[in-house]
Amino acid sequence: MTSAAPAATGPSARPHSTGRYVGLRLLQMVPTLLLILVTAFLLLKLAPGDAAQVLAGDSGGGDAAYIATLRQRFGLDQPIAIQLLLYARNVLTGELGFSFRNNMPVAELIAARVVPTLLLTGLALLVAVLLGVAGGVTAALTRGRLADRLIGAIALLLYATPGFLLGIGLMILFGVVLLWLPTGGYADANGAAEGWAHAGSVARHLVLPVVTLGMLYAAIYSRFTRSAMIEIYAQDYIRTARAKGLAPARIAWRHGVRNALLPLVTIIGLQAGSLLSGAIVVETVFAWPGLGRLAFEAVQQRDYNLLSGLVLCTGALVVITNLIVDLLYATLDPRVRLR
Amino acid sequence: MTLISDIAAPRTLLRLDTLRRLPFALRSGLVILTAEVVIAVLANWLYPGDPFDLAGAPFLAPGDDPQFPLGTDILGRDIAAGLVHGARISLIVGFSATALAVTVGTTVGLLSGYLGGWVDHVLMRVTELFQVIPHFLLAIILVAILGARIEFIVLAIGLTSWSMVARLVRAETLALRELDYVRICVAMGGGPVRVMLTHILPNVLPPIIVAASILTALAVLTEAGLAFFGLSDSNHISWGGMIGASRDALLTAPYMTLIPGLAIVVTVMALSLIGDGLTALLRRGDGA
Amino acid sequence: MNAAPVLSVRDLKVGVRSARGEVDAVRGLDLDVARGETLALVGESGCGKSLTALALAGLLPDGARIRSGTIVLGGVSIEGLPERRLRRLRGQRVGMVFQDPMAALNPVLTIGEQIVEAIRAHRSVSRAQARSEAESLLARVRLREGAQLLQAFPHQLSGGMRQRILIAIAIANRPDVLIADEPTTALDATVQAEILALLDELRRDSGMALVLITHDLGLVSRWADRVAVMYAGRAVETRSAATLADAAHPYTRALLAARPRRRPLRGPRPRLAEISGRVPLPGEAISGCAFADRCAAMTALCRRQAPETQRLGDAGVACHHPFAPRREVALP
Repeated sequence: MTSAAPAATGPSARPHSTGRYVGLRLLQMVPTLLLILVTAFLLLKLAPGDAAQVLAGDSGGGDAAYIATLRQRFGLDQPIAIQLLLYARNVLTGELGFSFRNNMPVAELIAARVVPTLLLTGLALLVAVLLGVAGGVTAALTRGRLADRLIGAIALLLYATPGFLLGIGLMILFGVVLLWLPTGGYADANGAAEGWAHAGSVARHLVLPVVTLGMLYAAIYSRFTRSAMIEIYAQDYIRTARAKGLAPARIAWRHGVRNALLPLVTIIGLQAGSLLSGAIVVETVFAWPGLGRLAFEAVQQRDYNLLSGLVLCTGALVVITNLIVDLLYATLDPRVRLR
Repeated sequence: MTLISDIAAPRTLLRLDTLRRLPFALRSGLVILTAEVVIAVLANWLYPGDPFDLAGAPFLAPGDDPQFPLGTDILGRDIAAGLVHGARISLIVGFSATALAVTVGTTVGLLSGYLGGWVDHVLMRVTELFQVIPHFLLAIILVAILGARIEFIVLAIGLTSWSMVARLVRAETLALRELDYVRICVAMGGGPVRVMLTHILPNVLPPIIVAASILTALAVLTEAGLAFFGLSDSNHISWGGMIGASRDALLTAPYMTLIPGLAIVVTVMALSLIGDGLTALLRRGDGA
Repeated sequence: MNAAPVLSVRDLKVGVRSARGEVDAVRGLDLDVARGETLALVGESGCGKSLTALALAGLLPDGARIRSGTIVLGGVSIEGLPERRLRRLRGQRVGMVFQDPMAALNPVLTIGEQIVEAIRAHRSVSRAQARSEAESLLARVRLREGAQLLQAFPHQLSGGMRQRILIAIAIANRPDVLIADEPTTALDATVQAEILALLDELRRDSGMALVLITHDLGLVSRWADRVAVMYAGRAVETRSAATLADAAHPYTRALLAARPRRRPLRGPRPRLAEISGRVPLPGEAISGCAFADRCAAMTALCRRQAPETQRLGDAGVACHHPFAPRREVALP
């Protein structure tokens, strides 16, 4: 018998440098961020009335000479390319313009709303993933049977329900009829509670918006998880796991779910923007003081400075989320080498 | 006469038979959607006159008055009439926005995937742009700027939803471009436009059709969302517009919101079922 | 063959759901495997040999089931055993190695995790203990640098290495029977011999029985003690590998004749497809002998009546007109 040596040399150490990969991904973000900036600028230009008119209109005087002076001061008499550069310079120094309706700088308005939105979307994503994976795995494992059909029907119904309708429904049920939860707002208005009392109040206000947004996405994730699980269960390595004599639950968890999470992470990344879209509606229904509610107010008041600032910030937020998701994926999937 | 009926009979049978063999999801989705389209087409005949007319007393709940089976809204407009006429606008918006998104997305995807190089690079950056800016935010801004008119609503929804189609078509094109018969066609002097239109496009169509059903569902949802934000065309009644108009009566008369809301749910479900059914059909076609 | 066989199969029928309802892909298979011996299960694709392997390990996919027959493993009939008991058999009494090592390992778990999990599924040993056992298993399948290998992921390894790891997993709990379903078909020719040699060595060292499923009759005389030739879901001839050249069944003879004289140095061996006619499809109604259509010795009897298995020397042959030993091969 010949000595059977391994065909290849030992496992090669993964030659990667996380730092370089992150740097490269950051570099790839630049053109997209620049395009977002141009879009925000174009939306401003497209909007009726420029800053000078708005300002002049607000202070009462419509006098042409005054508007011309204002235009000059804001650089609005320059060619459009120069205006874009001026705009870019402002944005890069953190200057997003002024909201005349709110009498506050746009940057400050947005900064105050970022945390509530991240809180809402982050928790909603958690709810969506937990519910969606649980539902999708159950459906896949009971494929074709009652549980599968039931989960599929619920997911379809949720998917087809407009976000505001689901929110209003839950609000009426739990906030108006049962009186279990507050119908809207960020925290109880009476008595500025501090510490834990405040946190508890915020948490109670969070429940309905989080559940609404979470359920909408749980529907999508459950359908996705189901098909991913079914695909994985046709793989040879599931047969290997069964041949080992592993318990079905262990096969489902370690070999099924663990592998189904990979494509799910990709989908979550792709849907980061969509989640923010959903937040706009849900925040509006529940008067949750986040970026979405701010967008609603800005549309009602036709506050274009604020709206274009929101495009910039939410766009950047999504780009950053995508970066985080990519890095997460690379750590989850050993086949992806950080390049 | 006999001749015509002879020809017609087997044909109908054949059609019924193919319909019966379709996946259940596709069949039920098609039946619901067809019914809605028929209702929308017959709207003027079913409920002649302007659905905006104040037909009776306001706040009539469904069943209060046999003349208004679904009740009346805040101003006394017949909800049943609004539902039937609204189907027209909601479906037109859904289909037109999808047609726009599919046209833009397919063009971008084909060019990007087939030509490659810097064209691909530039187009993909633009596609990415339309993926990262939250669609609904961009849509409400566009409608706010351009005005709440039906053509601008279609434009806003279409412009914010084509990126998915572009990515899909690009990926398919990249795969098809490497196939032997496409390469042979190129080698034999087939110009890019000719190859794209005669060899690639027909093969990308099936996934595009699936995507279109999903996009139409999303467009109907987005139209409703815009209307909820007060961004609906006040000259045309739509389901979303009916919901938007009933916001103040949400707690006192939830049926005003619920009835058009249900119409949206049913429509979106039908479109999703069609999408699911088509996906199943395509898989079956692959022999998998 | 005197001792009780470690694996005994009687009249096994495996049904497969198809467009025409449930059809039998294995139609009454009899097999005996003695402790420590290598049985080669040979046949063309579609003869039901892989389904047989899956049925033996209790791994039939959805849509396939054992319709009738008995499988006795180490004196225990698996018929009617609850799922929990069956699971204990899998991986402990029966090990299984599959065709495609590239797809048979979970891509996101390390080699170590996948071996340790096989050990701990059946024995309550500590993680550390299982790990050191895993390392010595790697040495047993002749893989060097085991400690480092345990940290590796499947995609970092060659096909041959992966198949060795799958063998290590299959023998982790010292099974009585190792079933290897075309274990070398997906591998390079040079690696094929190494893997077969390894399986042979492990069998001799541990005394387990090896069921080698293959379409390649050329492997039989070198690596097997006995051979069972399958045709259309039945074993048509069972005999000692040493007397393969004296095969009595016309089908076995045809397979031998269709074997290429020289094996190509590289690439897969040519498939055995040179026998005229075709294998009956699963579920196809067979009256009489299943091979009759393709057989030169066919008579009216063959059409009328399915042949019973008869003993000819050490062999079992299901044929009305078996070849006598040392007769020239006559082929259509």
